[in-house]
Amino acid sequence: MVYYNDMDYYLGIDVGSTASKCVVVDASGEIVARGLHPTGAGTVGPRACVDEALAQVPDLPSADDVASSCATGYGRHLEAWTTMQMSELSCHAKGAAHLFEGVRTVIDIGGQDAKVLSLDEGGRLVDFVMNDKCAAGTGRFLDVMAGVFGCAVANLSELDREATEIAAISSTCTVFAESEVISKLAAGTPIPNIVAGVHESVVERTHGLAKRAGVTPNVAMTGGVALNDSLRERLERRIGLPVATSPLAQFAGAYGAALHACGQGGNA
Amino acid sequence: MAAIETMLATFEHVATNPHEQLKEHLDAGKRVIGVGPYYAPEELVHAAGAVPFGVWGCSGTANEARKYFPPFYCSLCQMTLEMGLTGKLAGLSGYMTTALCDTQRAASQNWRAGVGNAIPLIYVSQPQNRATEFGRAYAVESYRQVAHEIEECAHGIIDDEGLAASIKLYNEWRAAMRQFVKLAGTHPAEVGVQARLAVINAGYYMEKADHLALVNELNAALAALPESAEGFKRVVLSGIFEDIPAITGMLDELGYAVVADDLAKESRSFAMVVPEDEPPFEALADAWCALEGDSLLYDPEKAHVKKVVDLARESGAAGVILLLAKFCDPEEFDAPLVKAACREAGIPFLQIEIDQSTETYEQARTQLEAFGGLL
Repeated sequence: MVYYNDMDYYLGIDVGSTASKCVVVDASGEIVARGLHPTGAGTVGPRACVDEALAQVPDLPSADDVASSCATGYGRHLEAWTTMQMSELSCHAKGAAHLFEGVRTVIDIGGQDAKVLSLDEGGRLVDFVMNDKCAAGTGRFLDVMAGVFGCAVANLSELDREATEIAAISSTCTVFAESEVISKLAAGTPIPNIVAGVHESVVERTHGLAKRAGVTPNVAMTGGVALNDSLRERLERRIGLPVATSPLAQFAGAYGAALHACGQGGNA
Repeated sequence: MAAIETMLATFEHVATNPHEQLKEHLDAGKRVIGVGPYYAPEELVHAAGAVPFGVWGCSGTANEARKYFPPFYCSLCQMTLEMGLTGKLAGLSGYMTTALCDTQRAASQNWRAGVGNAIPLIYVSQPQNRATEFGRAYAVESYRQVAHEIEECAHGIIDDEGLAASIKLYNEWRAAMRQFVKLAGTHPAEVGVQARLAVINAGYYMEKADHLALVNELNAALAALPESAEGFKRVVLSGIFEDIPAITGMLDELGYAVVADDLAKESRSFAMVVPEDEPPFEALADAWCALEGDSLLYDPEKAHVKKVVDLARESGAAGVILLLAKFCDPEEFDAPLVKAACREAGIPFLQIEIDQSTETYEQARTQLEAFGGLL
């Protein structure tokens, strides 16, 4: 339990399509609490992640007691109680700039979309590309595939490490890829090899997106998919550059939102 | 200002009630001919005594048209055929379309197969070899053939004198529209993105002379006001069309101002100037042959790419937004080149994919919000 007294706190909430994340920072921009709930916009997730974060700061009995708050993510406009709402592109850029020193390219793969952000030397967002409406290459794609394998999405990384070869998945569409995976399972292809193929599929799409934006080192990865080490390492090999990540990668958007709320760190 | 609002309300009403406008034309005993994309010689319809009526698809879902097209097909073509197949264009005496892309060419034949004689197709074949004498000769002959088909549909005669008068009117109208686009860019507080679009779209449904008079009045009122672009995010829109209510609503909501455009349905279509000092069919052909800087035209030097960058510079735009029509091959070919040219020129660039059958654009909102921050 962390105790802070006579301090202003700033809250950021990232309401994604599949998870809600909350970060509370102090006036210096240091993270003092965070919360995560595995459901997103339109569910109890946003409230739950805020409650989880507030429970870690006794000075803050409720979200009304923060000095300022900012909502980001797909469901940001549903959080009308916050002081401001900002796009997740701006918030991920700011959060990543604080999490990863000298980062110039941020690859964020969230539950529903994938985006590549270009930052200048000062950590300001200068360009971005984002996938369109398709779920291919996103966290949702991995969720669907994990469902087919009958495992938790968190186990995909370990399964990949057991692969002896890559069972290529040629379909980029999530629905068709699911059919392809089922066909491979029916043909007796080992699950780890198919997982490797699924990861390669995500990597190829992400690489294409990154090429559209341009890749400048240092490169960092944020979003829930960044926690999948095997996939991240495959991405490193494809891009040919180290791709940094952090245990806080999934909180980058909420962290950036909290920093926006307290006006920290330039205008990234 | 009240007068401007009243005028804008009129444009808005016409733009959002095309069927009411069509009914008015028909009730007045006029014959109405649909005019589709791109660069169709509308003057011929006017000279035949009929009313040209813009048909550029509509927002909605293609159901009947899907029987004629694969899924990965330009929504503008799909929705236009859908309108024809579902009776939304009942009352038209013909439908004139050109075929500057492969998609449009096939769509025109699908119209023949699906809609048939209910609304006869007037197919305009324009030469892509525009810089040659044989190209010009082809255009002249093509326009003469089209004139005969229009006469059949319009039950009117196109003579040189009448066509010359129509050309004069259309030149005046296009000049007024070019002026309006500039004034709307400098007066976004008075004419927002949606209002600007309504003024333009109303021109597709109203009699040209009536629209011209109203636009001239609006231009005069705007010109008398001080500029109001301060504080707006000034952008150039590029692409085929912008008529996606969700997108134009967001542009207004987020404080964007369209200071210039490179849209096929807007400034590209107002760019043509038809010579008034030569025989009218030759003049129409010369105007066509003089066109350049368009993804839809044969453009080996890619003048279109440079044009977008120049447009942004000359209009003082802070960025370029490409509204990329989904499955539009000509635009997709140019898109990476336009992006690279903008990037090289230091002009922020955003690409948003649109089509007439997509209902939600929340990812576009995220992108527009962030892009506004870059400007």
